[in-house]
Amino acid sequence: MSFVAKATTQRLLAVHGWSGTILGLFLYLIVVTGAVAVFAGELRTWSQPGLDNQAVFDRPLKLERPLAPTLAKLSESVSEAYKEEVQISGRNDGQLQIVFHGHAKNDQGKTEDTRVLHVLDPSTHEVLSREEGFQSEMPPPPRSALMDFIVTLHVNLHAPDPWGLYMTGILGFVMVIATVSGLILHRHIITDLFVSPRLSSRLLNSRDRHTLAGTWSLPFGFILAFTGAFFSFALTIGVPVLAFAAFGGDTDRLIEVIQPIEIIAKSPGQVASIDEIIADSSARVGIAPSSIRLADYNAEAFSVRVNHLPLEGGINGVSNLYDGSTGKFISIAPFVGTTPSAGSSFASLMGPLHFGNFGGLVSKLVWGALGAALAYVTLSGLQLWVRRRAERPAWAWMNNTVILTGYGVPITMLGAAFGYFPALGLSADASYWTALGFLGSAAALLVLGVLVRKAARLTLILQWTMILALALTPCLRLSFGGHSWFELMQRQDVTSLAIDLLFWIGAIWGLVSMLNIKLWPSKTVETRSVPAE
Amino acid sequence: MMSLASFLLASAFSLAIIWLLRVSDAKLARTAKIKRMQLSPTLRFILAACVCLPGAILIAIGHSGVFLSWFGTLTVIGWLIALQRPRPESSIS
Amino acid sequence: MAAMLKSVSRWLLAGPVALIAAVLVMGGSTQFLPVGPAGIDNILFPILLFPGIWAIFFFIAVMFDHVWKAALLILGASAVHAYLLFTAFSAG
Repeated sequence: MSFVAKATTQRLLAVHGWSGTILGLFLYLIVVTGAVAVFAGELRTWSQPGLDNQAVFDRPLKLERPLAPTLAKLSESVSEAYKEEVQISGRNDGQLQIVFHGHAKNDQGKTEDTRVLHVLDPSTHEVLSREEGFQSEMPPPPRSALMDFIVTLHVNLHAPDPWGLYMTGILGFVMVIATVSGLILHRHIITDLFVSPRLSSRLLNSRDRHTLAGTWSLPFGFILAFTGAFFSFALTIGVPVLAFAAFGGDTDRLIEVIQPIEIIAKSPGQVASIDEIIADSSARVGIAPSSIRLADYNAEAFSVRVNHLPLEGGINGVSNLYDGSTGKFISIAPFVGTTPSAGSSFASLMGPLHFGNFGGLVSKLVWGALGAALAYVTLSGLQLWVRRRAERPAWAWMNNTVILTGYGVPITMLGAAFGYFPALGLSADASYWTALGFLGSAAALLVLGVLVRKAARLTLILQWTMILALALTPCLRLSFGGHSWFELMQRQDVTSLAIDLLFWIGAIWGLVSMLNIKLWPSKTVETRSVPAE
Repeated sequence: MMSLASFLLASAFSLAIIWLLRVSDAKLARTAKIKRMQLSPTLRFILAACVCLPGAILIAIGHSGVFLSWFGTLTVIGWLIALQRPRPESSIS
Repeated sequence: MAAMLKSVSRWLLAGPVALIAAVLVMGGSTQFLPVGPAGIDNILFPILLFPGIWAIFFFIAVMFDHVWKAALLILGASAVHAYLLFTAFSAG
């Protein structure tokens, strides 16, 4: 049953096909890097010795000593200008971080966040380092240059702001259009739900593969594309336009309205115990906090916001608001604004829906699988478009381009790792060599694409390259200062161990496929068929 | 731990029904020239509703995170189930 | 010639015009959407729904059989919201 007229169907097909073709290669890059970025925390820990990303993202703060005496002692050495706000949180390397915030005009006359940043041992609260100055002058937290590179590639294609965000926003929008047009175009979407790809012709097989993957991925394809486009456009277009509309162009005022600092009437002479507040909040929620914010801290906190990670089964964390003077519980703080609202509830969904980090490793595995499925949808769509035009010589180059991109994106990400690990081990500039590894492997693949014109030969070379790169990556990590498997087991870092094994499993799987090794006897009867690939 | 258990239980239940719907799918049987499990359209409709049942329960008890993980799992594993080439009952010329 | 003109105008409408219309609607709708209990829903919903607003205008441009009807709808919405934006900025 067709819901739309023939002419409209043709237009929608043109939209679905051409937008996917023109931007599909970039979209594939975004989707694949996105699927990898879901595991940014785990991959950071895997790639950078000394990092423990779980300390920040998946576990509450480890508060082994009372915070109040530490806070009081630190604030004695911090000037009043930095006491607009205090934030207490964990760090990538498992240390505790206490930051005093203020605002001041920098050399360019622009108001910028100023900080006094303390890094402390979580067990003894001994101050390990102290930095003071503008936010832009602060040393970056411990990081993995490899994962920073891949995540930034996903967020803005490493293009300068705002152009990079515009590009990724447009790609997200294209995917929204593709999912909606695909839904309208697929006339038998429910009855075709279980129709496995037919073998009567290569073109039909390609079409069925694409539509089947697209149909099942439709809900999350739309959600991920919509939320991704939102994130790209929110700061670049949304904030300036809404500031213009509602606050005469004052973006600071807009941010203040959406994310206000709660001002609570001060009780003179009273200072509540931060430790009692934390204990009360933890008892209410059932887990220890992940971070604490003291607003307008000036020896007497006006408000204390205690943030907790999502409870088991939940999506969003819980933030409890307290009177800093009396320690009295005020309310559960909404995601944005001062009062719970429909807008705040909706806004709170965007992050979890896009990042998939609300349920620990389980939700990340599901989101990673969704990303892989969407990557397949994108690539199979490109393949279908090219196969429909296989008889036209002008499109032969596009076929090779699709093959090159399909294998090339993961190979270049592994190329980035090939630049990163040696640089890390040899104490070179890891960011520089990571980028060089990526660009170098991309350039090598382009040269390969130019020299090797036959699709079958190109595919074969790329497959062997991928198998080799997968097999060598854990070896590189281990050879250049990464934790050995024994050390990982001692640190109870099962995830990093599993990541190493997954690389090798991937390489072995590829090898088995390439060599056509049958691991178990096939029971299916050989039918008349055309190879799908 | 409880949310992991509810996720696995919900997913296993729904995926089992999805598998049932697949082996009884008329269009698949027609296109792949295979025999199918004979289920009435009404029963198939009820089964399809049962696929969604765990999701409704998860929303009702406030496990929205588990609901999202369950829904995502269904779309991925459901696709992989649908992708499988059916085994023909007899050879096809 | 007429067909080409129709095609070009349709794709212009679906492209840059739809984007500009979405931006204008995002900004202008802050003036009439309910503020909600926290006083910020009229700001949050337009920015959260921006990709959807853009997609709606895009599909209007693509799916309407008569380009002039789509143009009337999109340009009309743009004009109304541009006026709302102008009055908001003038008042602020």
